Amino acid sequence: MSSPPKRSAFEMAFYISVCAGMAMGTSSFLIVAGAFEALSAGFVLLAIVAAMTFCVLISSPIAEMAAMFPSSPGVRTYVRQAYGDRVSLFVVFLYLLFVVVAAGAEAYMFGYVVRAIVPQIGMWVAALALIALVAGVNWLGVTPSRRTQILTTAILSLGVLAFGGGALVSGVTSASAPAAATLSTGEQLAALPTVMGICVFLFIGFEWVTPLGFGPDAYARKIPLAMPAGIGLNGLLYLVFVAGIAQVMSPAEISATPAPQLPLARKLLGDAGLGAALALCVFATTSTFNAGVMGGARLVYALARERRLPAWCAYFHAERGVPRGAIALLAALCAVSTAIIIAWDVQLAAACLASTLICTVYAALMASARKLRQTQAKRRRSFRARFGETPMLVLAILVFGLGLASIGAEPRQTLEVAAATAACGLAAVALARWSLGLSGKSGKAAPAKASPAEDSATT
Amino acid sequence: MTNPEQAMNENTTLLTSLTGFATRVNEHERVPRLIKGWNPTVVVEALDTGAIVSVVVRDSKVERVVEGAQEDSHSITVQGDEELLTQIFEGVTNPAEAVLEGGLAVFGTAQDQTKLDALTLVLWGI
Repeated sequence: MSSPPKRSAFEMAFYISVCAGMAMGTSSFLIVAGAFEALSAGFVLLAIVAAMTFCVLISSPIAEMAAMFPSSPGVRTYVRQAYGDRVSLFVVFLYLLFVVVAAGAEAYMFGYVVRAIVPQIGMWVAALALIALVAGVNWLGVTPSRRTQILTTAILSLGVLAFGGGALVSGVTSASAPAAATLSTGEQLAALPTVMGICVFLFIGFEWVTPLGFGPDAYARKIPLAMPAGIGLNGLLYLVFVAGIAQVMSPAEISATPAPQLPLARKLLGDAGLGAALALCVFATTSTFNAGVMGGARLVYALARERRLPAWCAYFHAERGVPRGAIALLAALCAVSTAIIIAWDVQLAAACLASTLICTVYAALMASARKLRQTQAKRRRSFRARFGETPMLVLAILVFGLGLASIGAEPRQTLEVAAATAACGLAAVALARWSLGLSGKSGKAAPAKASPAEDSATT
Repeated sequence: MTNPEQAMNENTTLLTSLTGFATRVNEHERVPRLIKGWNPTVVVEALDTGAIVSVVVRDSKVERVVEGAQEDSHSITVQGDEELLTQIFEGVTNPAEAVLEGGLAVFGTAQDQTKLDALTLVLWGI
């Protein structure tokens, strides 16, 4: 049965807002600043277009797997169906590590912006208050409605567009010389893959829409279309923002701060612009952070329900339908990650690490899509990607390569990022092994036993 | 291909299973607190036989179980093969595992999914 046009448009708007809103965080501006360290504006624009194209291509096989396993917990199911439990758990733990690292970078940026505008509020206070607020709101089961999600993304998009577009038409120009122009075209071309790698960070999270289909029909057209539409919308906004900021500020000025939107706002609107920048930051961070914590919590809860994590991770408040154990775990891990990033001031390195982790996960998803074309060729798919197995393999290799390249995006901390990447890989292997041992047998849930979740239903 | 008589029998199987589920829900002392203020219609669709049964939840209990899809502003769709659906609503199979395996699909908000999961936990501890 087809849905009425009005409901259908609302549904599509919701999916696009999830894809776009999830990726548009305050740390996105940190990536823009990082990109200007190595490249001039033209090359930064090129890197964004290339990363956007990659993400659009990647979204298609993901949509195909979502159509095969609608409403499933995404990456866990897809990789498990393709490569079995062990590999799937490894990838899922990489994914969760990515969430924790990206959340830490986002909380850092939130703290940085708040401190820059309201110096009385310390960075630690702002960042940790953000985590406590988002965790508390989720703990109580207060979830934004679908309409709110659409509205928030619309406001956020208009805000970024206003900053970028305003800069383009403002007539304000940079006084200082563009630092990256001192690099030759050849040097910038050599740095391009690295910057493309971290620019993938600008679009991450588009795949979080896959378990959110309103009904089975959503997986045939709407979700497969919403992902590239959301990526395209974000791409357009970033392109306008980068073109605008490059008009008003030099690459040296942009890369001198992790939050280049602040000096931009001041140049365009004076002190009043800082208020607008703060509002933009609050919208961007709370929506991204909330979606990240909640999405990650659902994944932790699903793992705990299949006895791949301790039972307390499946503790939930039954009346409110809230997975409290998973929320508490993720909030605690995000707080630790934030503390490390603030203490060592490694925000750009954290973003590079997050890019590397998510590119690895995307590579695993591409490989899984290819494998499922071979092993489950006859399984019903309401959507099928328009390219074959070889392009999927090529995409897997390329996106993995981009992930490796983004390790070097922060030249001052390349070794540290490489070490952190290796540590995350080893941690994911260890967690997968430990997790497999929890249920006692591979591939099946352990026999039922009393769970804290059941207790919670009675309290 | 399923003939109408088979379909009727299979529909009866799903209907019987869900009627039993409803009785269990309504008789369980802890369930009313769990579903307080939660009033969806759960439309259960068997993909292999075409059987469809709706479970209408109102005022902390299952108000009725009826054949066919009931229209509701708050509806949750549950899809899978009939045998799997029957096993789930009889407490034999863990629904979380079935979703993970890709055999079961649940279309609703995250809160709806957790509530349904909570029901199976409280009723059967699986």
